[in-house]
Amino acid sequence: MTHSPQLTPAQRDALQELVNIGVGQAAGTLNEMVRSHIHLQVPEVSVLSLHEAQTILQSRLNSDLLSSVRLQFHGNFAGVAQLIFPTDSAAKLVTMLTGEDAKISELDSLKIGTLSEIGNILLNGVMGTMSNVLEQHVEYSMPVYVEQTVTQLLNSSSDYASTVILAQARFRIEQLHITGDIILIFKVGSLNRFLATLKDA
Amino acid sequence: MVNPALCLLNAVPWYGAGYNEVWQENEYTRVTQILIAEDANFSRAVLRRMLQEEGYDILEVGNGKQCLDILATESPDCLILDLLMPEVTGYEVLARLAQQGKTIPVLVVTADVQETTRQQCLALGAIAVLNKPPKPEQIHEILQQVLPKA
Repeated sequence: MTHSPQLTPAQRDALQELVNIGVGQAAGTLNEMVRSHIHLQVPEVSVLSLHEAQTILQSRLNSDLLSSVRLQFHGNFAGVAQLIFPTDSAAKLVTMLTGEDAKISELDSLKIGTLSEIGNILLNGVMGTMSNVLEQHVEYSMPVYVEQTVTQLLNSSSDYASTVILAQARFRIEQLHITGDIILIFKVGSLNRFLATLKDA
Repeated sequence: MVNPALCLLNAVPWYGAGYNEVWQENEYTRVTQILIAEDANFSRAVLRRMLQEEGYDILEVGNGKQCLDILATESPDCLILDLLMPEVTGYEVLARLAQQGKTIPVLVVTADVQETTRQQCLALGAIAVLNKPPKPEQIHEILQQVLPKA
């Protein structure tokens, strides 16, 4: 993992724990929905350039096409939270939740609608928990579902920053062989405000 | 609680806005009508199934504008309201209902877990705020507290 001089050990520890709490909340919610155990890996948190983030995610996600739900947030700090699945994991999850075969193309609207809402719930769990701990309210835009490559995924976030906080939290639904990642990207300027908030927390 | 099978089997006459009446065990039992305002089909379906299993009559809309439109002509017993919706948000619905002096109990069901959001909704007149996905027993408990007794 790339280490950035922008994060002190205390900030890294605090951010990692915040993400851990947020993802734990989201995993609890997902567990209730799928009624299967959610295996969580310890989140990794780094401050990186977009290029570094792209390289790391490319190797980590190891999939050409990804299903992604983007939730933009703004307020005292702003950016975008993304829930990412390999497309086959996304389809399995929709099938599990709706009972419909999401691989059938006619069911695209079902797949998009279901994944958008799942992303909305899980990403709100992450961001909302962090917001509650930091006592910093954030507003959300409507969640957006896209299928894209890692390069496209980060390029579409390039209006936000050349530097990102990459918080990678991987979860796995054991029985369904579904894996997913949560990524947080903070807007320039807002990144520093966020780090200052961590210091105060 | 009303037996949903009885509701389906009976030709249900209307006796005033929002209420159906069903002959059940020698007494009239009112079928409670709940309006769900939620833009996500997935969450709307989850709520619909949950409430229909409890025997409630369901109205559904997909955004805040439709919610206000239907409340201008219908009088459901309770509104279950999402916050982040296109055109008119749940916050705006709450504010408009307060402006109009409408007293319908509003239960907010949102993915937003922020305490500030919860407080804002309560300040705007919501009776309770639940996080998605709501548990059936949570919804049931709140509805039992606020709905008119049969």
